Amino acid sequence: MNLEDLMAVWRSQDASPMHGANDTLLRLVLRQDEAKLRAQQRTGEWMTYLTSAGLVAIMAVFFVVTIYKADDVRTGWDFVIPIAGAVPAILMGVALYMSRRAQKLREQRFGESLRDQLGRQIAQLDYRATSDVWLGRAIVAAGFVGAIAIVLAGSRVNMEPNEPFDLDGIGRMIFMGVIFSALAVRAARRRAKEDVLPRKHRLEALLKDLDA
Amino acid sequence: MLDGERDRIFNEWLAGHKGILFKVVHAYAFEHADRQDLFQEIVIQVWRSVDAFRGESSVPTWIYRVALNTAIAWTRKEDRHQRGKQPLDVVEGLLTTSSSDGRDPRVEWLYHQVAQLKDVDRSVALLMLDGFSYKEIAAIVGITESNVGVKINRIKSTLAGKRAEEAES
Repeated sequence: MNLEDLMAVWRSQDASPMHGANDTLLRLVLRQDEAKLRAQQRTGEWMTYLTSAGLVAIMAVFFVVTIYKADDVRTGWDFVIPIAGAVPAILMGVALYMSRRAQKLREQRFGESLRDQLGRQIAQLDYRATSDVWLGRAIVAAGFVGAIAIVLAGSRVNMEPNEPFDLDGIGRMIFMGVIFSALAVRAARRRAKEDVLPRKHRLEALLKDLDA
Repeated sequence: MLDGERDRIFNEWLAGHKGILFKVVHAYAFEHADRQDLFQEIVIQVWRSVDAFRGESSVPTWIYRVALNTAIAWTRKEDRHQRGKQPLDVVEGLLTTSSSDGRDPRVEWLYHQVAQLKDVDRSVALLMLDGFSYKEIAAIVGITESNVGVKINRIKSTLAGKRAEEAES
C-alpha cells in the first residue's frame, strides 16, 4: 500500500468519524472556562495589589496617628518607621507588575508553530520557577519588614516620647522572621523543583525530537 | 472581539473541522477518560485561539496547529494529580464514541501505527496523512522542510515495514 492509498484510507474516517461531541456540554464547558479564567486572573492580581495597598494604608494610619499624637513630641523614628514599612510593599507591587509585563512581552515574541509553542511553554515554566522563588522572597521580605514596622509603630504610639525600644524583643522578632522566611523560600524552591522541572525537561526533550 | 462574534466563528470552525480535533485526540490519548480530558482541553484552547486568528493561514491549518500544540503539551490527568496540580474539571460525556459500522478497519490500524511514533513524529504523521504539504507541515511544526522530508521518509518506511511484516505473518 503506497502513501496515496494510506491517505485515502485515512480520509475515509471523515465520512464516519470515530467520535462525536455533545454540543450543549461543549457550550457549558466553554462558559465555565471563561468565567474561571477571568476570576483567576482577577483574584491573583487583586490579592497582590491589595496586600501592597493594605500595608501602605496601615503605615499611613500609623503616620497620621503619630502626627496627631496628644503629647506633640515627635522623633525621627515616627517618620522612619512608617516609611520603612511602606516602601518595600510599594516596591513589591511595582516589581510584580513590571515582571508580569516583561514576561507577557517575552511570550508574545514566540510565533505559533509547535517549536514556538514549546519555547513559549519553557519560558513560562522558567518564569514560574524563578518567580515562585523570587516572588516568595519578595512577599516574605515585604511582609516581614511590614510586620516589624507595624509592631514598632504600634509600640511607638504607646511609648513615652524618649523611651528606648525593646531591642531584645525586636531581635527575637527578626530572628523568628528570618527562620520563617528561610523556610518559606525553601518550600517555594522545592515546589518549583518538583512541579516545574519535570515538565520543563519533557518539553526540552520534545524540542530535541523536533530536530532529530 | 465581541463574545457573540467569537461564538459565531467558533461554531463555524467546529461545524466544519470537528474531525481534526477527533483525529488528534484519538492519536494522543488512548483511554476513554484521557480522551475526554484531552478533547476538553483542545476545545478550550481552540476557543481561546479565536481572538488570535489573523487569517494568515487557513482555518484547518490553524485548528491543527492549536490542537497539536495542546496535545503535545498535554499530560495525563493522573500525572497532574501526582504532581499535586488539579486538572481541569472534566465534563463526562463531552466526547462520544461513534459506532464502527461502515468504518474502514485499516483506519484503526493506522492509528495503532501512529501511536507507536514519538510525540513530534506523530504530529508530522497526522499532517502528512491529511495531505498537508511539506511547507505547511514545516510551518505548523516549526522545523525546516528538509527535516520534514526526513521525518516523512522515516514514517513512510516504518509504515511500509509494518505492512510487510503483517503480510508475511
